[in-house]
Amino acid sequence: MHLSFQKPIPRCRVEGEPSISVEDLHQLHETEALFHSNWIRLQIEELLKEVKVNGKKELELAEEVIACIKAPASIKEVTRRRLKKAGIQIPLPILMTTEDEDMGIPASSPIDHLITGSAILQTAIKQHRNVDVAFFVPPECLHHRDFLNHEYLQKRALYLGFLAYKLKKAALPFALKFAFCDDISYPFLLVAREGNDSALEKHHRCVVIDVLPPPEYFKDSRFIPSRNNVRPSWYSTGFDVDLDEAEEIGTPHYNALISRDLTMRHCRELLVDRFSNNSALQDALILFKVWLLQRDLLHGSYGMSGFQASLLFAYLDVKRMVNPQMSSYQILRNAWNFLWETDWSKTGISLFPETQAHEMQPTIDDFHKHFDVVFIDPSGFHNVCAFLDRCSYHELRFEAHQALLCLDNHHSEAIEVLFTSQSPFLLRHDTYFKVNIEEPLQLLLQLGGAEKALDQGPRNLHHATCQMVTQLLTKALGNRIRGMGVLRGMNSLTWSVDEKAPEFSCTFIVGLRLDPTEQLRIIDKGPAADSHQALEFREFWGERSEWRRFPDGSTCEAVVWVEERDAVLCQRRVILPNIVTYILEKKAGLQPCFFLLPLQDILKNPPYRGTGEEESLAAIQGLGELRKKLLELSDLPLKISSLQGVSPVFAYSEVFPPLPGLAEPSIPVSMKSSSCATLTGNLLQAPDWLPPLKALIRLETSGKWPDDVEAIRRLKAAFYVELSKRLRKSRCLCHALPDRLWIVLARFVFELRVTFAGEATVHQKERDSTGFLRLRETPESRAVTKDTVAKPYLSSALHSSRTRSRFFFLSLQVEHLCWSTGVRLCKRWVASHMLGPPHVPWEVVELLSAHCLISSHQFPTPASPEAIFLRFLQLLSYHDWETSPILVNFNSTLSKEDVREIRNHFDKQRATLPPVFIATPLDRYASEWSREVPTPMILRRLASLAQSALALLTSSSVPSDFKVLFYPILDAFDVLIWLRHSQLPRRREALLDEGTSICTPQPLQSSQDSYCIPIVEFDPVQCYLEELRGLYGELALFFHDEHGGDVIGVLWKPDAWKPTEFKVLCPLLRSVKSMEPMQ
Amino acid sequence: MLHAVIPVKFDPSSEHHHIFYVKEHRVRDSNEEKPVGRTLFLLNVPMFCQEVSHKYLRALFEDSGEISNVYLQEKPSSGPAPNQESGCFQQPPLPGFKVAYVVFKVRKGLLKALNKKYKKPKCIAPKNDIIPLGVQKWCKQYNERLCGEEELEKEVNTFMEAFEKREAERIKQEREAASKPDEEGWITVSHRGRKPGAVRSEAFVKKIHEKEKVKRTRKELLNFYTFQIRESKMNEVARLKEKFEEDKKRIETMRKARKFKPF
Repeated sequence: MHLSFQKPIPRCRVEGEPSISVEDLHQLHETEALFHSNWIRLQIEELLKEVKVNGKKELELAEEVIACIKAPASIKEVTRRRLKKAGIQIPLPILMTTEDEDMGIPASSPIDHLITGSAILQTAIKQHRNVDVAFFVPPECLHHRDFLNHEYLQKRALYLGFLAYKLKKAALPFALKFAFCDDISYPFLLVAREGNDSALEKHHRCVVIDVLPPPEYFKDSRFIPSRNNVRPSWYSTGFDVDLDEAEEIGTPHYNALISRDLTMRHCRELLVDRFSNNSALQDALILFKVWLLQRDLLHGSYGMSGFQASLLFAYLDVKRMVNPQMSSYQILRNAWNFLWETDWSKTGISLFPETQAHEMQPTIDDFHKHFDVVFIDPSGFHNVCAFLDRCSYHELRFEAHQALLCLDNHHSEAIEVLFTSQSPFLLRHDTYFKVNIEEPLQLLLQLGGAEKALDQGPRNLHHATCQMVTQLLTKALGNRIRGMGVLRGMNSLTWSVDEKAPEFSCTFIVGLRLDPTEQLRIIDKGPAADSHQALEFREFWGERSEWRRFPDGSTCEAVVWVEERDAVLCQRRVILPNIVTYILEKKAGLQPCFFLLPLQDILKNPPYRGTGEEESLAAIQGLGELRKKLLELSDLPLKISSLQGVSPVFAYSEVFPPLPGLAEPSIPVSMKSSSCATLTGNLLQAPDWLPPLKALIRLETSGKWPDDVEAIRRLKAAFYVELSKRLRKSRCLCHALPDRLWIVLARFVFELRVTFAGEATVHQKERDSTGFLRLRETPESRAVTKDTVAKPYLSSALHSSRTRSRFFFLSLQVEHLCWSTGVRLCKRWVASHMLGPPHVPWEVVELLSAHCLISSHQFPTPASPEAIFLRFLQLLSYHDWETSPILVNFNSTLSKEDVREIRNHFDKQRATLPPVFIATPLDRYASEWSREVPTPMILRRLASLAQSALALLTSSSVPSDFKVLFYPILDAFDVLIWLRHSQLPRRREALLDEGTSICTPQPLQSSQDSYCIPIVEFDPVQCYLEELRGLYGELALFFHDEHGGDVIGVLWKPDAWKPTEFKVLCPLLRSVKSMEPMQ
Repeated sequence: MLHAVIPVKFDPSSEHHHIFYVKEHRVRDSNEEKPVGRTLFLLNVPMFCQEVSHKYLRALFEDSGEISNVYLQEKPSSGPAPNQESGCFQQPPLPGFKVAYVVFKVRKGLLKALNKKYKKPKCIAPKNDIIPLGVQKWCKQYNERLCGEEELEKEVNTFMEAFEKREAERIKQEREAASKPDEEGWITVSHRGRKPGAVRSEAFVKKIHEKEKVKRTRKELLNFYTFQIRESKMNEVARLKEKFEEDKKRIETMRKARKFKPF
């Protein structure tokens, strides 16, 4: 029946039809199975191309070095003195003063060598393309009892010095340096071609020479963690330390140093076996190392070294958690997953096959007793993670978890976030402080770590002290923190061979990830007063501990950090720093230095109780009161359906929220019609700035609104008059104006406007000549939409991120208590550099800060205002606006599909979209708030300012006074207009230098009776700027800091001074040069 | 057509002068308000001359001849000047230089004004009057904005009365047009009356088109014939391919932006 209508089937394929080759199809199908998506596959391939190296040059260099070292030496015996004469200092100072400087070893060549590390596994990355060569010390240099009392380490250093001597004397000149990682008593020798010193400095593109004891020379079982290899008697006599003479003190750290050397060959065998011919495994390891490096974690003592990482991947392979069919992406995912799901600090993992265990073999539990983290190597005698402390290990796990989340949720940016953008330590944490330990040995003894001192040697106490301090802090802070990381200042230091090994100051930076609510807890409740734990608690907290009766009737030991019940937020934010300072001071005599804490002082304005959150809250409560009052009014012409706050103060984001009380009427309201204060003609001093709290009244839907814009204006005015009459009856001070209504309530001045559904469409309607109706967006309609839909939505979205319900606000501020201060810091910073509106709209700053808070996947969610500010600066400094959009996913409204669609739209339409593209759930494709501004020029300026601010904040010498960050740089402007201070209504908000007196806030001066509405929103500076921009906007840009800035910066536009043709339509402002028409 | 130049000064103490460019107002479609031949076109009017009563502009040209009207505009136009709101609903003037049309009573006045030689800059501010500037002006603007409520109410009422009258008139006309055929016998259909016509708007047309589309798809058979199945498979492959190419392109741009250089 249908057949008769069927089109003839084309026999041959039509030209131009999309065709796909079998190969491509195959690849696409494979991709679906092995990678998350084709997009990720392509990116990974590109990335690998960029970071992989073949390392041929380095291997050649290594061959040369080996040849030189194997050549016979000209000297017979190696002693410190002789090497010193030849210009080589042994990289390890003599431990005992009693020992002879002339202790020597025979100068015989190494018996064998071994190339280890990433070069042999083909997993080197560009940044770390070193070749590790290990030489075996000939047995005649050692003694069988050398494992005792650092003897072996001394001889090892001496032999390393001898190798350096050989290379120095070699025909081919080399650049030489000593270095260490993990442990100071365990130096390496770095060799590069002559003149390539920078390579040595960066520990990159060089040959790393290690020295190993001859195979089977020492027994493995000598170095199990519980054995003692440094005798307390030897240690006590040398260093004046009181130690028990018991033999039982284990020296796990010392043992691990030597057992690493012993088991190196086993590990190498295993690794070579697993990695050769398994390119997916190699690629995965390379990616993993890049990921670590971007996070500053590619280091054995506070992250994972390349060696440890390769053993981890070998472990996954051995245990069949990955298989040869897997792609590098899948292996990497499994590795992260494995890191996150297992906890090696509780149940360690082991590469040692248990079937081969013999009686001397230590068990995993033995290792757990002595080490924080346990990962046993193939020989079963060495803990690969011996030098990793618990905190750092958990930070590493947390990062792995973050990486997994990032892959799952944001796959389009995942590769960029994980591998190609840096994530520095200081930005990953909410707050951080520096600790400087002058007497590490004394401190260690004070904290009861004498055994550790013995274990780690007298000069290498960083590790132990750091561990003790973090343990102390973990105990003191409890659940106030979610994680703690330590950044040590001595990661991998290098020094030249003719210098003495440097003494390291024991300094480290502790970064804390805070719990958003627990960090603000006022009281630390301890055990019941009569329990036996109470004594311990009291001992720990000292005089701060006291008895407290709690509401549930119990009497407990407790520490109270702030006495007042209604402590303001900024007081509560300093509780945690106070605890840290108190505990470190009391227990260890240390003074931690919190860098960024003084930052919030910028927002402390004298009349505020804290940093202004409480004042914002007061305004919001005022709005609630007003809402109640308005909804009480009956039989209005149209019902009020809701009242929405529009001012930023309702989103907690007004930099200086208005103070209540300045506008309180002292005498009952009269029924006078003119109830507003007016200004006198000769204004000697501008009245104090009083912004009204803006709110929007939504009326119920009605079809009776006219289609005429002017008529709507009149009707609205009539509504204001009507409302004003009603409100005055209930003794409210108010005044109706043609386009707004002022009300004084709850000691605030409110400014109300009215809107109704579909107001914007009235402006959009347009009829053509035949009367056909079209809707076209016009500038007016856009403005109305912005004011009546977008703005209230934004302030309620910034306000309530979980629910869009209008009456149940669960604000960003409630969820993230740091939001308010954070966003206000950002706004204050932008304003102080005179880049506020119209150059950068406040909404854009707010959205960018909200992005840093809730939608950034590069860093974990910040929990302190400083962290928001730092990440905002980071975003401004390094974000690539051209290729990636900013998504602010309020309430997680945007699904993955939505996000993908927005990205596609962005990629396709990039050329037509504004420089800064911000997508929110309500405004997905247009980026309404950044449509015209900021311009690329302003963006560049912001970026360079942010970069220098960030550099200042994250440098090691942080300035004591943060105000320098907020001083505008005036050199950039062509003309400066200085303003009279008396005419600045917002002078109180200005940053003052130390010593300048702050003018106290005065009750408002009104020229007439005091019971009228005060002068509202009158700023002569803004009037002046508006006029300047209106008149000369074509020629110049005007910059001003609205928070009491006393200068206007003027910047000429590039073609302001070029002659142009006379045109009627262009503003003239110029003088006529000649009357001849220009050619 | 050249412009004549008139230098002016704010007051005698000013060191610099401002320049007006003037010429005769000459356009094809003339307007009653700005009659051709009697109107002077003035460019570059500064802020301090933009007063509602135009008294400073009048004072400047009064000695050339009697002036009937002055219009201030944002931009030059040939049509009537946009009428200014009065009373409470008056919008504050936008800052910027404006254009003005000065209409003389007779053409002689215009010619005189154009041919006059201005040797010395003329002062705008009269001796016995103060033009409010700067803070004073802004104070004045602030005070003016605060009009009384009663005044406001009165103004709204008069406007709305006039508006409602206009609307009623319009509706009446539409009704009448709907019931009466014009000379050729056509009846204008409006959306009023007993038998209203369809709304003539874009949204309505779109709705109809969409309905049609739904109807059509309901009738069609998809994936029924072999060729359809084959085609849909082909399309799927093409889509895959297209996405692949897109990704490749994106990678290329990212490579150019050195996105893959991690260090």
